[in-house]
Amino acid sequence: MLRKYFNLFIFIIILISTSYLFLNIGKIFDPFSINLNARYQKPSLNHPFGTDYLGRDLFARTMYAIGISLKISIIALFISFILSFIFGSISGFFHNKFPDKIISWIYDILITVPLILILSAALSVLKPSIEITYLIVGLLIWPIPARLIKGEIIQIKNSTFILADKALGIPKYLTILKSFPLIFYPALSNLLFNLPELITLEIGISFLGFGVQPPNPSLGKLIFQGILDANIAWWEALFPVLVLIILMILIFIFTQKLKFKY
Amino acid sequence: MEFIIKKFFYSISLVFGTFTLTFIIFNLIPTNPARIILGPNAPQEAVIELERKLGLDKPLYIQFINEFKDTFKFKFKKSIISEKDVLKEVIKRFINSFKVIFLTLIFSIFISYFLNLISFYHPKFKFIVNITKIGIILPTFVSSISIITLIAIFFPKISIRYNPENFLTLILPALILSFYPIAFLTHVFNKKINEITKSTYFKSAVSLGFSKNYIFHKICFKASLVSLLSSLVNILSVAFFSTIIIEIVFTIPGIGLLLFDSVIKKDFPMLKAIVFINALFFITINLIAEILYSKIDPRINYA
Amino acid sequence: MKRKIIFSIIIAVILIAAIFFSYKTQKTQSRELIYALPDDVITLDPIKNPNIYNGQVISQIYEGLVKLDENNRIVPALAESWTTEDFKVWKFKIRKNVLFHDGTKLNLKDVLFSFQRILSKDSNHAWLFAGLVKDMRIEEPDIFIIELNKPEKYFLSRITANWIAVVPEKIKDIPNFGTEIAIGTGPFKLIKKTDTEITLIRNENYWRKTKGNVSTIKFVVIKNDQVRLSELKSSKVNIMELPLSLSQNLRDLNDLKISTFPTFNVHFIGFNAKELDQHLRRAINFAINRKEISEAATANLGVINSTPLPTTFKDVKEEDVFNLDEAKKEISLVKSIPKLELMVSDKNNAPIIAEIVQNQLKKINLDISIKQVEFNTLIENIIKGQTNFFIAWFSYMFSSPEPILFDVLHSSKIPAPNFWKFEDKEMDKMLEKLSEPNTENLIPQIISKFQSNPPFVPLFTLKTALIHSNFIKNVYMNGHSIPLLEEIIIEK
Repeated sequence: MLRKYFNLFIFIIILISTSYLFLNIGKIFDPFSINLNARYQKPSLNHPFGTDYLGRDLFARTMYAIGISLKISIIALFISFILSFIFGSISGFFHNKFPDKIISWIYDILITVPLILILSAALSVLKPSIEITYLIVGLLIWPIPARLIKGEIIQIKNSTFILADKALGIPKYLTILKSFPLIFYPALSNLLFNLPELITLEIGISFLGFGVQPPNPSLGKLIFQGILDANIAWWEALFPVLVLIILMILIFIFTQKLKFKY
Repeated sequence: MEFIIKKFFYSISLVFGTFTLTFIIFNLIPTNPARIILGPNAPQEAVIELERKLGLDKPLYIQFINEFKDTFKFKFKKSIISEKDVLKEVIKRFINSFKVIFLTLIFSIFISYFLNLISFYHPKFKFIVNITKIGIILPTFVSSISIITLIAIFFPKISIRYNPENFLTLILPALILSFYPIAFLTHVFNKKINEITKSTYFKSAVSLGFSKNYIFHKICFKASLVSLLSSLVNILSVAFFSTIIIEIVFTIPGIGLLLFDSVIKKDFPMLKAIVFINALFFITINLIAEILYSKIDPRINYA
Repeated sequence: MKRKIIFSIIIAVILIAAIFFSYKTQKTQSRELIYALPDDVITLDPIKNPNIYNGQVISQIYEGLVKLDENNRIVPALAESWTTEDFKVWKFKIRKNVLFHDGTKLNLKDVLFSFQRILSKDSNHAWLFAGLVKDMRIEEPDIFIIELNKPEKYFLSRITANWIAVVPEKIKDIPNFGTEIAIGTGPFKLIKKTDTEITLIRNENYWRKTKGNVSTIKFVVIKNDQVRLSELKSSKVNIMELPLSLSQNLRDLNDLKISTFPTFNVHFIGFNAKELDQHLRRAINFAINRKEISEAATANLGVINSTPLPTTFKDVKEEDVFNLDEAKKEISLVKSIPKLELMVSDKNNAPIIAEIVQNQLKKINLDISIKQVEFNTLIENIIKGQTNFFIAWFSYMFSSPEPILFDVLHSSKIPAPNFWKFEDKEMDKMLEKLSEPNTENLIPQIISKFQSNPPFVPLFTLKTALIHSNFIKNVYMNGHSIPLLEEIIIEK
């Protein structure tokens, strides 16, 4: 089991460092300086991915965007890990009793209320920024691992070592603490398996026009602006989409290989 | 039976909870429907006058109680913006969206069925199933908008707009919408088949010499039915609100777009009707699904 | 098993063939104009017209007393002629023998009823006349009189839009007027209305002889900009407005024609004049390079403008006050520079303009950040005073400069449309004088006062670009963004 945890932590560290790596690659090649004389330039040695509608280097912007999208997703991941852990555990420990019933009821309602309503409200009340995007994406994802945690806890409650502790008269809270490490792993790995979903959510929020603020690039903004200009600048959309697909496939392969499926 | 009654009352409580939460969240959005109707040029006095006319100047708790009473009596007002009858409009749009989703479900069921069938018979084709799983990560909007753009660039003479008189124009939107469901269903079915393959009754069926056809249909398929059904319900709920992109791109007057508009333009009567009909629809679907689960798999009982 | 595979392949082939066959081009009728709109048509009741696009449809069906021609001159519509001695009592001579679309004759009672309706509580345009009209009456056989509370020499410019329209009196008994039924006097009649299409046919009994030969118009709603453009390219649609988001595509339109028309609008950077120091605002006014913005964000469809009036008016010249040295001088006079957050909506390429502005202001050492919000949220934030630095635009409803200046600069118009909380007693007095006759030099004075203490920085006036197939000729649009479809000639 220690081995599994080791793999997990290595994966998270690789993710975080990849995000920083991309952010810095982007920064080196200058994703922000506007050069209105160099708009819509085809890919060339100077600008391997071409330039965008304001003459900015698209290679730098794409790299920076990957970094930002990954960063947002990782932070959102941790926010939803904490939330799902809290709510999932409460549901699990008090299964079929009052707290569980309230949480399930609230969860069912949250699913029925349209997402666009929640998003609009959140984005118009809170001033949009990168931080808010983390928060919102994290808040949208927590129910998925929460259900999982609940299931795991229910299983654990009935397992022999817990019963043994009970028989030995060990106080409940110590037993609970013991079971935590068993739950971390499935929760975190389920979230990592959903990492592509998190990136997708960020793209969706960019489509609505919110999220990462200009002039910061994000994968969603790059793709949608590129599609608008597709007739005159095919490179503006092509590279971000290709990069997105490769990124998703890589994450997918890694999570499969490390057997994070649940 | 007792179970169904319990579920029914739980569902009613869900509807009222949803209604309350919708009202609260809706009123958190700071925009003003009267200002949206009159535009940014209009003087503030005109906006206040229109607010009064629409009943929006009353304190929130009074508005809430009035709306609550109306919902209880099933009275739905007219839309603030278009003055159309809200219920008729919602149902009309719902049916339009449903046409697309129905096609999507059919495509997803058949394609995932065939893919798993082929990979079961010829294990060399397993990779097709694995590739399809990648569809899970492709967001609907990226794929739909990319396909539209590609068609616009390479086939500029083809128009892909939805034509209400021509049912066939729904096929392309349904196909694009089904990327995710196909991937999801194929993945779930495949996972279940792998599980079943490891079980003893499967192995005994094989050793007893039953044909591959029999094993696939009578054993694998039947045993996965519950998972497949719950995935379908899952897909249905995701599909209804991811149709918004398909509706925008293919000009289908559906419910996703109506929902989006009613939130942006703060048309509460319309939003209320949408949430209500939607909640009703899903409660019914879930109820039917749960009844079917217990019928299909006699081990499941809700006592 | 093999049978199943063959079966499924056949079905797949049939499906793909079905997709391709479903998109066969349909034969269009001769002389049919297919006009693509970017947003739903909400109502065909003129007093409830919510926006410009809805108005474009309404303008083909209805008309009022006067209208604007393609040169934005006020010309007679249902009023044959008009007189006023003191700019207080306006007498309109109503045209005889005009028929509504249902065959009934237009009479004075219909005109009175329509105008009372426009000023009533149900109308979205009552505010255009709020407190202005003392009385309206009719004088047989053909005079309609509007009496104002104060003399206003530019009164006619309030009623030039086609949705200040005359409808028959009997509509008070028609409950689905506007949602399913439309009866006006305009050059086209409604024959069919569905959720995404509206079909009009030419009014054979129209009172004016027009040059055009269009027999039917189909208004089609296509929300996605790219799909709309590709429908035009594939001839499913033959005329549309080019949305700003696709303005860069102007280079790519081969056998399509583009006609551009100046309309009554101004795009601007707005301030909260109470919160931001005068020298800061002047500095920003001098530091903005409008030419750059117009080229990069509007493909030169934006006509450079430094005044609050649209360049559509003849006396307003294209002017660029860009002067980096002046800007640096002004900024050095500012004691403390607050944190500046430029709030923009997602419409009309505002985020792109914001990025360019951010870049330009760096040259005078002003570092601003950008916040993008939904359009209605932006307007609400401006009105509530929660933002002091924003990009927006006005589409003016008036067709003459005086009421525009009054609305935008007078202190009584805070918080809307005086978004900048601008209060200057001297300016107020000058604006109030505008309704008197003989005040031609007042307008330049007001504009130069405006530029010395700018409550907002006008950027450009956007021209509307209509793209259409090349067999469509004689295309015109007036300043209200109303396309004069009755003049269009389709050559086949």
